[in-house]
Amino acid sequence: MLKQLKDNKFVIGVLIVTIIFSGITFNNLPGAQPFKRVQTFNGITYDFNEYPSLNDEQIALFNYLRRLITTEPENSFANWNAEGFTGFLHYLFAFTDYAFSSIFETTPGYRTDYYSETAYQLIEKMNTTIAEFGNDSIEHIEWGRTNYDEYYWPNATDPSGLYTGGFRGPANIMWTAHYTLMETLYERSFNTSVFVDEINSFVNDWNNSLTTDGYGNATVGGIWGVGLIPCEPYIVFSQCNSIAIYCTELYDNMFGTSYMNMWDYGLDFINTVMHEEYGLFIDGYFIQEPIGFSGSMGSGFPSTIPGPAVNRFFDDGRAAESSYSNAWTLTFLEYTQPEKTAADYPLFLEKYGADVTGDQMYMYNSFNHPTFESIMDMLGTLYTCVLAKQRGDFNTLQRLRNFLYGSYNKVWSENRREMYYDTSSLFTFLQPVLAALGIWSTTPITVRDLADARPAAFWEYPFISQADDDKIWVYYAEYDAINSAFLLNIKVDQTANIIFSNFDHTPQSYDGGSLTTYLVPSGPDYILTLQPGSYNLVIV
Amino acid sequence: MSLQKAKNIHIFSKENLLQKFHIQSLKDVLITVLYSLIAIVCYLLLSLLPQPYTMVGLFKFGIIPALALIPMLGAIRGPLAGFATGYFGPFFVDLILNQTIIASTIPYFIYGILGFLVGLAQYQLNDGKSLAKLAILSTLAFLLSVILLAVIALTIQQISLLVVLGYVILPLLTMGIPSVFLLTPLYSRLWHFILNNAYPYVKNLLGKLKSRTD
Repeated sequence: MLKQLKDNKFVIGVLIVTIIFSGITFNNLPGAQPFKRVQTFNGITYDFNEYPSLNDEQIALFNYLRRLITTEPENSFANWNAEGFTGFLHYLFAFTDYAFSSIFETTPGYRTDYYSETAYQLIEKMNTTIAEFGNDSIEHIEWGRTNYDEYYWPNATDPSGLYTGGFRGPANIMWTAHYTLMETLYERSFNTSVFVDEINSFVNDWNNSLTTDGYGNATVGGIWGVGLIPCEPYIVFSQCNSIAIYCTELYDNMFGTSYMNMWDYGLDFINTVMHEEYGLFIDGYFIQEPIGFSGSMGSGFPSTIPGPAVNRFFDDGRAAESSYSNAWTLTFLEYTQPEKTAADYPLFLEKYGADVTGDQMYMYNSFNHPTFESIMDMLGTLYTCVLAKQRGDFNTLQRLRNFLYGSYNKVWSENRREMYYDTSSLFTFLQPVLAALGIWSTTPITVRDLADARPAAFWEYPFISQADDDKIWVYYAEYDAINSAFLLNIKVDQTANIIFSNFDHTPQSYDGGSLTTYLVPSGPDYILTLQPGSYNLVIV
Repeated sequence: MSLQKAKNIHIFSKENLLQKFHIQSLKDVLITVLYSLIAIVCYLLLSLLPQPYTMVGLFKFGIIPALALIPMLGAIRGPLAGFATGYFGPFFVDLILNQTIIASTIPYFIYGILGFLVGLAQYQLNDGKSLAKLAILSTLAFLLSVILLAVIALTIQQISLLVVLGYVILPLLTMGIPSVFLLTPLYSRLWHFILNNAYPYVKNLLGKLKSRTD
């Protein structure tokens, strides 16, 4: 034995070092997946493998973002570490909300305050104005240094023209579109009606801008003649308008209206004028002489107005283009024009994609200027993750995610209910960004899916209205209307009560095909008490 | 072959080259191909596993278990087998798992060079000093590969310097070097053990079972 050890001392030494070294690198393995099984009850088979579900990482990322949102007043932004990146804050809030909506849709039968309050507070944060909060507002932080309140059409500096200024005004689609979509998605998810009047007012304002001269006289192309709404407010972007177009689709689906016609001219303008030589979208089109602050991203001032924004890195007048603009627009317009997104996606990957290694790729910000120099170069990669998921291109998605996430440690809270990626070695601001994208790029629900409204009967289905949210992990929760069964995939950390509403009888809970318990009546609701463990429940 | 006998043969003689490349007979060629195929399949299987890592600041530490198979096969079966494993292992991983081929397969060629270079030397796989030599030569060959990969990334792939540094060179150095230095001698020793102890034992056992059945 001793001789064998002596003869193999090098191998044994290397083996020990390998075990120690490997042991300290096991931080970032993929998180646990929910327990799923097949069960048959009353002759009906419920295969929990086939239902969409969340996983521990997605829920832990949500819990991290929830803490950022709910542990500071609506007019505080300290939790977001946005110093130097304040111009991105309202985008972060909006896209975080869209990521949340994909969670809410994965578990549509789980609608406690835990989710709805988080989304509500995010919307409040987005809508902090100077009038109410002074300097501690999104309006001041992002638009306070601009001269937004002084804009008029057609001459920006002539007060005798049509007034188009203001943070919540007709020419700030980069905020109004996101804010209205956040509100509309909230109503889609929770059906509270608290935002409906405000949603109506914004949609009507867009209709006025797009179909009249601003004074109520019908005009083709609307106020600015392009059928689109500007921001900054002298430039129209396909990406910003794609949010409003998508929001209008959802609005029409939810309320049975037909406002989408107002975008016909603008969509045609995006598809036929606002594109470059390959047919992909350009990054901005000037419709008015800018005054004061010019904050357009990567876009230069053209020699003739109206005209496409030009690429700042060249003096030959070529149009500005960017991967973030294309990925974002293709994602949000896919519901409206699925053939174009399907046709453009491979071309988009070809023009902007950069292979790093076999398992990593990123997107150039501009294919005319293919570099990687700033956070702008990250944006295209971020948005392409969402597009790739929507296109079902999971191979590209994984390669992009390897590039984005492969350089950061996962940091779990002590109780393992929160997680984020530690990006402090680069920018701490990336932490909430990667957390939101971590949800958005991996949940089974796409942006396209969320444009459809829930059926009216949905709101009568049984659902979880209250729960000990801090003790449970809800992976899947949905009422199966065909089989009249509530399906619940859940993990319980500590004994937890879950309260169901809308059952018209005392429901029974089945697990593995066997009756486990009757739910306990509590007023009009019913309480299910679960001990720690993992469950695939069929509640009938 | 003993070391003394090996020295007596001229280094560039046809006989020496055929021996070094393990292709002096049809049987040797077949065994070399078989070993390469086994290593390529193992490379593919190991690449399926999640690759653990930890970040310390900008540095990514971890183990790439598949990587050490390339110098290992070079050490066991010579330069050609090492090259084949280095070229086709990553090639099939990218083709099958990542559904992409990088820079007209040039990076895989460089991994092939890693296996080829390690295979040029001779090793006694049951000897600690020789295994240490293997670990050092594997590391040096790997460093050369990293330099070549960086040049390819900057010139042919035209990736920006920041990305090449942050996403190619640094991770390869901090994960690749521990992998080839630690795992190559371990894999090689394990292979040697299987071939010289486990395999004859199983073969003998099967022979006995067969004779009993007869």
